[in-house]
Amino acid sequence: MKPLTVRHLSLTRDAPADREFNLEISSGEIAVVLGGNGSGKSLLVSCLSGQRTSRGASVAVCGHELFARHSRAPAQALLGVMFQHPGLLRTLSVFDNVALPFLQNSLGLSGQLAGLVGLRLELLGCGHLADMETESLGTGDKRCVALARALSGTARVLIADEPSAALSSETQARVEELITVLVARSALDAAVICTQDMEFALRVGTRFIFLRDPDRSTGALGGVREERMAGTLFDQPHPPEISAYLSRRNEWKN
Amino acid sequence: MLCARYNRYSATSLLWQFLTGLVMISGNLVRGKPTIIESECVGSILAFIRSSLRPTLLMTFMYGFSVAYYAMTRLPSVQIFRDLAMPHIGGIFFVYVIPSAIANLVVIRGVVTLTSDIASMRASQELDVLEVARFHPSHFIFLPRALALITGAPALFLLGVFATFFGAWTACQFTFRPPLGEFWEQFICSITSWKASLALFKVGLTASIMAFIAGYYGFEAPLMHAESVGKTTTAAVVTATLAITTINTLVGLLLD
Repeated sequence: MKPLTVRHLSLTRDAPADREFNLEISSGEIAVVLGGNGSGKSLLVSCLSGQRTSRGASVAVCGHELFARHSRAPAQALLGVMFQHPGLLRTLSVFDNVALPFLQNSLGLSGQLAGLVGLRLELLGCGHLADMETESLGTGDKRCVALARALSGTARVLIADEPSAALSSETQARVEELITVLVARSALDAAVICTQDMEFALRVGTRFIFLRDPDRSTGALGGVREERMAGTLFDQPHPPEISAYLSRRNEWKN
Repeated sequence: MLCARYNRYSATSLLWQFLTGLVMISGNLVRGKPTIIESECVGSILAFIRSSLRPTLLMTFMYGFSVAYYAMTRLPSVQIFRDLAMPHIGGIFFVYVIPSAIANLVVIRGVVTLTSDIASMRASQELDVLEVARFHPSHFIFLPRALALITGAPALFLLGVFATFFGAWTACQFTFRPPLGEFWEQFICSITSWKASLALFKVGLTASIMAFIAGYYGFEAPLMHAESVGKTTTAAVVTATLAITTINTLVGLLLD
């Protein structure tokens, strides 16, 4: 059973068939979704996490359909989502925010929970922030805590929107290593990462999905322009717009 | 146009979630197993009363002072005010003046806070996070804030009675200088249990409807757009103001 299967998902209403997403993410894969500004990466995260849907769309997480009433809860339980905004609840402490996904599993507020939350915060180098209020954190720390929360609960599939944004190089390396190790050691079945950071993408990705540019005349978003597996990203020639995208990124880096 | 939002929040679904949330927290409290939601409720109620106390006392004092002073200066003589108006002043204040002050200040303040809080949580994706974590955002976000408004408004109303009394008494000091005890006796004797129940009902009803208006507008705010918070809050306040006027008129016609 595939960790994530997407069928007939459109990011915009009345989108043509070539703008639909039909994807299968296999176990052990870290799929990196790449695309320019406004290409629909964050919207795709909203759809894959069940926040938005299109008519006839299907997103299955380990066989549980996300858009069906009876199987939505088990599907959501297997998802760990990090949105573009950290989305830390302002009235809760860092610890409580990370503990949130565990609370649906009826864990007590002490003992086991403290250990589980503490481990996730330590893995991301945020152990010392546990008792702090979220409003006093910097942007980078907030994003680390958001990632720790996405890895809490019973998550088997990680969906992350720009996980490397606003992080120091040291923290970025820690995040790269953590995601790679968690997937390699089957602590996570798979990960889908939307990013603009080509360097980060090359280091963690096992599969690269390039989104199509938005159609300026109709406003249609989404659709996969090209897919490549790791190691073949630069081997074969790309369609012109993807070559242009990659070279723009490389120029900027240089 | 972007694909549709999966979770929608109508006024009736908010009401249903509010009622089921109340049952849930009552059950948790009876079992002696409070969760994070109960602590949010207590925190919200205390924060609402704490932040609204001073402006409420000031506002109701000003209302009491202004209404008493206006009545004294418009009547032909102070004696007429003492003989005709004083025996009814408590009841008039209780049913009309203090609920208006509470509606204008406390409830509108609550609507602004609740709407902008929820809309900004929509913009910062806090609601999305709760939905993904399988919490119903209306239990976690709306219920504590709505409870704070619904229980806080009548509590502040009762405190406002004393501030209004002192406001009216201060106004009278400019003319016939009644002793405090005598003024209090006259003020309180015209408040019947019917009038007290009617006033509390009006305040509770207004606060409840305002909470649902604010919740509806907050949850339906567009995704991830911080600039929409202001527009959403303004729309909620306009609707709330119209609703307050309608409620006061209807309750006045039906129950007075």
